[in-house]
Amino acid sequence: MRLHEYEGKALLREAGIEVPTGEVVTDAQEAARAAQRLGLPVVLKAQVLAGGRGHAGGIEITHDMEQTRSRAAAMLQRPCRGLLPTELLVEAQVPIAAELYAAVTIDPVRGAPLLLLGTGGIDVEAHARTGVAPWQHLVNPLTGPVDADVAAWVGGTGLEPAGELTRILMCLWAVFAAEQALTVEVNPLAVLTDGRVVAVDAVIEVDDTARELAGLPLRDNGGGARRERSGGLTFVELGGDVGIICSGAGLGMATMDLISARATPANFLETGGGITRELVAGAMKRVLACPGVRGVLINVYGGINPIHEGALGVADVMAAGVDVPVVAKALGNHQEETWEILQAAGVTVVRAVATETAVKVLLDRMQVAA
Amino acid sequence: MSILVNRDTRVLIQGITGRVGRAQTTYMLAEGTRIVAGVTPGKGGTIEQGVPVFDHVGDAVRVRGADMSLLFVPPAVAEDAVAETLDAGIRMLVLITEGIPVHTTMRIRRRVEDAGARLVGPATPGVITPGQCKVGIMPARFFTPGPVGIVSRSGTLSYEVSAQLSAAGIGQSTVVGLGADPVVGTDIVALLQLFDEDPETGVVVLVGEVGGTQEERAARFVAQGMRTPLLAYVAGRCAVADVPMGHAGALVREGAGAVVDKIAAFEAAGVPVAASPGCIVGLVQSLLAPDHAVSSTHAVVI
Repeated sequence: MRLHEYEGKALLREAGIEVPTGEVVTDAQEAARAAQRLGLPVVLKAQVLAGGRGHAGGIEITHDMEQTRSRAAAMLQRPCRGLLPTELLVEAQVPIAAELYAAVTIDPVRGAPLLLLGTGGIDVEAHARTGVAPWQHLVNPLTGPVDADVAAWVGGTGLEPAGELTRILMCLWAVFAAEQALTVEVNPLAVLTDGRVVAVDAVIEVDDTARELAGLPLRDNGGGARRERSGGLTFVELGGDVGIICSGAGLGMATMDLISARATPANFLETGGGITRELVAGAMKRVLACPGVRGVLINVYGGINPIHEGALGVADVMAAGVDVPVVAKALGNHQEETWEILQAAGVTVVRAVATETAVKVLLDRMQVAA
Repeated sequence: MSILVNRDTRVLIQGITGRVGRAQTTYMLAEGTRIVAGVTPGKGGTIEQGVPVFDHVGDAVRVRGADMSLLFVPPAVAEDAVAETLDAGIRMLVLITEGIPVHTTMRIRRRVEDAGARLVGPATPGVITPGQCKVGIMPARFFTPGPVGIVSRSGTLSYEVSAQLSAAGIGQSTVVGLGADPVVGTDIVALLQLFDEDPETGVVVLVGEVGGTQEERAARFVAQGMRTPLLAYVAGRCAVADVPMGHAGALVREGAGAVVDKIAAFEAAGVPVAASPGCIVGLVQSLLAPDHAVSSTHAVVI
């Protein structure tokens, strides 16, 4: 789950990193009043969860009240990177002498956290592609970064002010660890004309899994398809007419890919490894509630999942009346029992191993052209 | 031969008396897996399906001589369980548990590395050497002994691919679930290396998916001189950018990790890519054919 810039900046400030003074507003009038309080010129920043806002009209500098009002009004009506902002961050402009890049992220290959420090600005991704990548410092996840090691590493980069940059990196680590973040990124980290170092942006993404384990709510990233999670199940609505229930994400994606050759999936649904009668009944209802769904493909394996119990959930929903074809491929432990339950409930059972076969049976029943 | 597990492997099951652990123990015993001990704190001294249960891993290892552990433990205690396993001297671990936060997994992996041990998972179906040893949750009926090594990012897709190969009369040497999380204990390249060193693995099938860089690194390993022929399938062509499709690791972000890039990397390295799971059998057959003998491909060492 990504945090909005203003949420991330609040965390950085609490951790001891300076950020520009600012206010969050939801309309143009408020933006103008905030600008007056903060002192002009101000920076208007669209609060959307996407990178590259600077190039997409999501960041503007305004010099008077009227300009602030009109620009804020326009920004609140214009999608930025495909996302319509509901909030703007109005910030006092800071006098920047140099732009740096600082981050804590995860190196998935080495399986450890990574501190990053380099020259910054809105083209840092382009720098990374052309070889001017940030300096890296791998961290032992059991101990966290050691202050003296970080200081020596920062010293080696030649970037200044080295002492303050070391302190800031340790603060970023504190946020990364406390929030169980996947990424804490500041770009630009601005060195001001008076020598202070200020976080002008903040991109923080936290681990959904950690939040779920801690019982904390998850929020949608605000763009594209919506993902829903409950009881280990993942659901994404995709707008087509072929409903999908799969056990296993890889199998689910493969099924979706095969359907897409001839039709459009209504959804992606992956049960996870905790199938119960209730979970599958809920999954069936959710898929059947997708607008325009004209058929459902169930593709599950009995490994850790008791698919015969899941079949009872399918039967419960079928008994209430389902007017679209439902085709199931269910293999593995308890497959024969599962087939009996599904067939008795009016589901077409495909006994072939290949998902291709099950997809063909359903699409033919739905009279989708081959 | 095989990789990671074989008929001599002495397996310990952590969480053996839980609902999942108990059911899966039944299936593993039916496949002839040598389960020598179980551990459930508070259940020490009891017997589960003929397997002695201990309170502590140390006691189980001392009394029964287990040399690998399969863990069915809740995410909140996974790190402690792994630490106890390593302290007891076990150096091969399979962690089935789904839903472990990535910060915890990084600490687990570092503990494993510091101990010089190997971890498969988390979020893996485990490892099976058909006909010899099943250390995991995969349904055994789909697996038969033979020459194909499989490494898969997805559990259920590895079942589907193995089932199709078995139906075509082609067995598997060992099938390994890499684990579906963004950080896992054993890197894909390390598994390819093990398969490459196994004389009885004639072809390796990599079942990949959208997100991450595993497929790209596998392609690089092939280009650097993997001798055993590799073929690949990559799921998630239709995955929606920025929406994790069930696996936390299966995510296209800022344009990186897309299936087309992975396929391009494989093709550049000369790795055949199956268009769908059903096409894998035909590709395996062509790579196993006498005119494409393993010995001739082994000669192509860079």
